[in-house]
Amino acid sequence: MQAETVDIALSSGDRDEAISRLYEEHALGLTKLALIMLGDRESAEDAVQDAFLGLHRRWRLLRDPAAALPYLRSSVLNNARSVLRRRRLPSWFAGAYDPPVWSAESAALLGAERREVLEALHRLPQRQREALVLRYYAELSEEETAQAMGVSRGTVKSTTSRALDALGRILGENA
Amino acid sequence: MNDVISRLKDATTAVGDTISEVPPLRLEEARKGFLVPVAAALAVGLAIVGSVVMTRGGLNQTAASTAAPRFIVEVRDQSALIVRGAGDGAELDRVEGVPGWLYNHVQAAPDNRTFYASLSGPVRCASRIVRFTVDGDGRAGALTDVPVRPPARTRISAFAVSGDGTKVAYGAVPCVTDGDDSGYVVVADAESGEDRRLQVRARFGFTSMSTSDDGSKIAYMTLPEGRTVTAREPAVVVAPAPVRSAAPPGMPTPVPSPVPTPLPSAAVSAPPEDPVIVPVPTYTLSEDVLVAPSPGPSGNTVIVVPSLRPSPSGDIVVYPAPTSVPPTLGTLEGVSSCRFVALQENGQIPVDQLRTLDCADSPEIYVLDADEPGAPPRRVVLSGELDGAKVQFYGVRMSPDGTRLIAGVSTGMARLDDPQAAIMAFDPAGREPAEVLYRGRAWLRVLDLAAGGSRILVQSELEIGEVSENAYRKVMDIPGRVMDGVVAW
Repeated sequence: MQAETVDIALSSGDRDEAISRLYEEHALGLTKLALIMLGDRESAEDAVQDAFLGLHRRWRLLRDPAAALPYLRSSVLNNARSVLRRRRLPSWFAGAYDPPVWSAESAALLGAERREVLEALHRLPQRQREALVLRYYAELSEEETAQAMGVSRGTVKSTTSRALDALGRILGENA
Repeated sequence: MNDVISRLKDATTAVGDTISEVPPLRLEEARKGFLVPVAAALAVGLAIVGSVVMTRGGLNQTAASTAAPRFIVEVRDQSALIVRGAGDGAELDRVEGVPGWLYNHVQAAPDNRTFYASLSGPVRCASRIVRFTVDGDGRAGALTDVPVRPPARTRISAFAVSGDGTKVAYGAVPCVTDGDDSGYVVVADAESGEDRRLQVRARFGFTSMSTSDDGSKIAYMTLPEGRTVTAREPAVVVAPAPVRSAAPPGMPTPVPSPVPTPLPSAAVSAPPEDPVIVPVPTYTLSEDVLVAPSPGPSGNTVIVVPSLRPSPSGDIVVYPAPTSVPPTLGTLEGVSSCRFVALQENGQIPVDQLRTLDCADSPEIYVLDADEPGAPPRRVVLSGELDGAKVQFYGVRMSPDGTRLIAGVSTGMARLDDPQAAIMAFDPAGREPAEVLYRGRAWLRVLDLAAGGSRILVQSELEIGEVSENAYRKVMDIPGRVMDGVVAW
């Protein structure tokens, strides 16, 4: 998923059309990103849907067309964090959710080695996990990753480095 | 290391490839579905419970100025500041937004000519405060930056300007997620930007921030983490007028059936003798305090989307939301304390109307003495009664002399013909009994105090108005709930 520039009209009259076009172009990629963060497809789809609805509500405030995609990425990340926070609450509040797609019961197609990597990824602190996924799955630049995470570029660099070390250690321990 | 990266790319790509399509975009959902942040207090500091005794009294302020404000400034959709006349709310001038920045809150200096606004920037941690003046006709001058510098990793969440205009107090909350819950209350010199910072626990934001005239006392609330709850709109009772006396205040109507059923049209044209309980749809309110990458004004406000069902007619009595909540949700104060008000049109609820929902604030207020560097904020839990019923709180501001907290209160009832609401003054030290400053309207939320404190800007039902000298004056109509910090005078 390379960085892209979005060409959209800003008038409110064609807001729905412009957002629908954005959805056509980016919803799948964003849903995949959310899936990696959350592990279950339904939550991932909801996170993306909510991000687009948020963009819809704030459309009039969008001054720079190129800001739409960074907004969506950041919003999907925020929504995913919210879901993960709720999952830490007691089950009567958080509700039930499916096991992650890489769990043993649902990841037969992924294979043991990939499952090991994904489980290791999800043992990392949230920020390290986000940095790795944005940099190496979504292939965002450090600048774009910083924008999506709401941190400085230097923080992205150091967080990514620490995350790779930690991931390597976890995988090494499991070897 | 390259091996780790390769394995990571391979595994994440494999997960991503498990889906190849997404459901269609449901833009109609943009007009419904909101969240109510429910009070989940994170208590810090010294707890002082301000149990109060009801008395009726006048406003006892050390009034620095009793001149009526001439202007009100409003944050409009985060994109502009509107200067309005305080007499009739007429728009006098407009200050357009700064490219890439969104307005959040506005504050007025005591001269009612100098106004301040906070903005959030194109990246999450960017925030700033600007200042502008208006001339005698309400025309706004250019924006200038107030030289405040929020602590690293934080953004400005709420702010207040001292009554003498020399200090800016603001709450700064973490804008990155790294497990550090620390926020700051910062008191900065409005000219030099030199500041003092006190670290406090406020992960999700500040609201209702206000100061005494000299800036030495600061009052604020902290926002709880957002939760998703289900709120049920109250039953609407359709009945002839005498039914009102059969259901006096304090006597909740029976909780409606959880399964909404449309009202038969015959019942509308010929009201039966007994009241007809018309259940209305249950709304799932969903929004998270941290959802938006660019945080907007805080608050638990929503516009509930209209029901498309047949609308009832006749005498309408709106009761509070049921106090019993589904057992699976536990006890959630925010559900039972939300007030609902319907836009009224000839005494009937139109088919396509909006209903406005206003949920009570937390009773927990923090009071900080800025003249005691390093002293922790005191936690004050407000408590009061109206006619024997415990009240909820709707907007709180500190009095100019720093000795009282001025709050809108209500018992939660929303009967428009029986005002169980008031403006009350509380002693944050817990020594003096609370005073009722004003009663007479059904719905009162304190929005701002003018210089001197004797004139209170309020929301009352679907109006912005002024309370002074035990009287209410309408300023202008508004379409829904006014969020904290978006109007000032």
